[in-house]
Amino acid sequence: MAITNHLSLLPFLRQFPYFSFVSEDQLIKLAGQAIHHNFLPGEIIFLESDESSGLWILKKGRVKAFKLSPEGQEYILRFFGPGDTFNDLAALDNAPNLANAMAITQVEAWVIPSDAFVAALQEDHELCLAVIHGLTGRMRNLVDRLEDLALRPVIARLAKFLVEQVENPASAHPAITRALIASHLATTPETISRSLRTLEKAGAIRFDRHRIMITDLGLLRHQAQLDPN
Amino acid sequence: MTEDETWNPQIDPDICTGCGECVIACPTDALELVDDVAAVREPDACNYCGVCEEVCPEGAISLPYQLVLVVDG
Repeated sequence: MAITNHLSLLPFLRQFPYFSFVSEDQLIKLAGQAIHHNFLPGEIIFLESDESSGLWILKKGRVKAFKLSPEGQEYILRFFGPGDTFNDLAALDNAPNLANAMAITQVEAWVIPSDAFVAALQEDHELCLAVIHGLTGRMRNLVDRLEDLALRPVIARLAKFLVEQVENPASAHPAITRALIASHLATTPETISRSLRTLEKAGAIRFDRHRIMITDLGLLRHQAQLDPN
Repeated sequence: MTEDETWNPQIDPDICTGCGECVIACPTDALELVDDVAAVREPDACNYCGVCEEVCPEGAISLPYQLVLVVDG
């Protein structure tokens, strides 16, 4: 952990939707309180129910946010990649973290402590609007996930997962396994195996040793119950 | 782990009990037990059939996949 030369952080922070229109003075204050972290693959960034460390800003690498059942079964809520923020809600209400976060690859990130983030919100109208917009997106994402779990069969959830992975490579997982997909889609690895074979028979995907080749994206989108484009 | 090693069956030595089910089931003899833990002995022989992952009673083996979008033309 280290406090970096905060002025060098300004162009980086400006790239994030939250901070695109924040006043220069406010951004300098925020950058001055940002703390730099590096994590190794598999390292825990924070645990659910721990005190919130603040708003996390991801520069390099990939992160998964996940919940664990009392039996230790994992449910992956979301993957994050460069340019994403995470732990937004716990940064705002200063309540305990909502989920666990783990580095999937080597990760470089900054965290802005909750009190600094909330203080900036009180002073900067543009930051408030940007955060409301960002949280609206998160809410839409959560409703989408609820819809998937409640209304889409596993085959459609799997097809949608594969479409999202290839269409959002920045936040995609670099090496997916049946177990990982299962814990993201709240099902079992065996069910994922059967569903992958069904997609292969339908002609949407093809296996080439360790590669899953998406040979018909339109058909995969159809299987995912998504719009053709 | 090298790039090549990423694309072989991954065996978690902390979970593997050394029961040898995967070694017996592997159709290309790519696996063996080393110090009572399953290991990929012949990575080039592995055809990624996934049988080892399916038979492992402990869920210690996983096959990582890379997603590739095939673009026509």
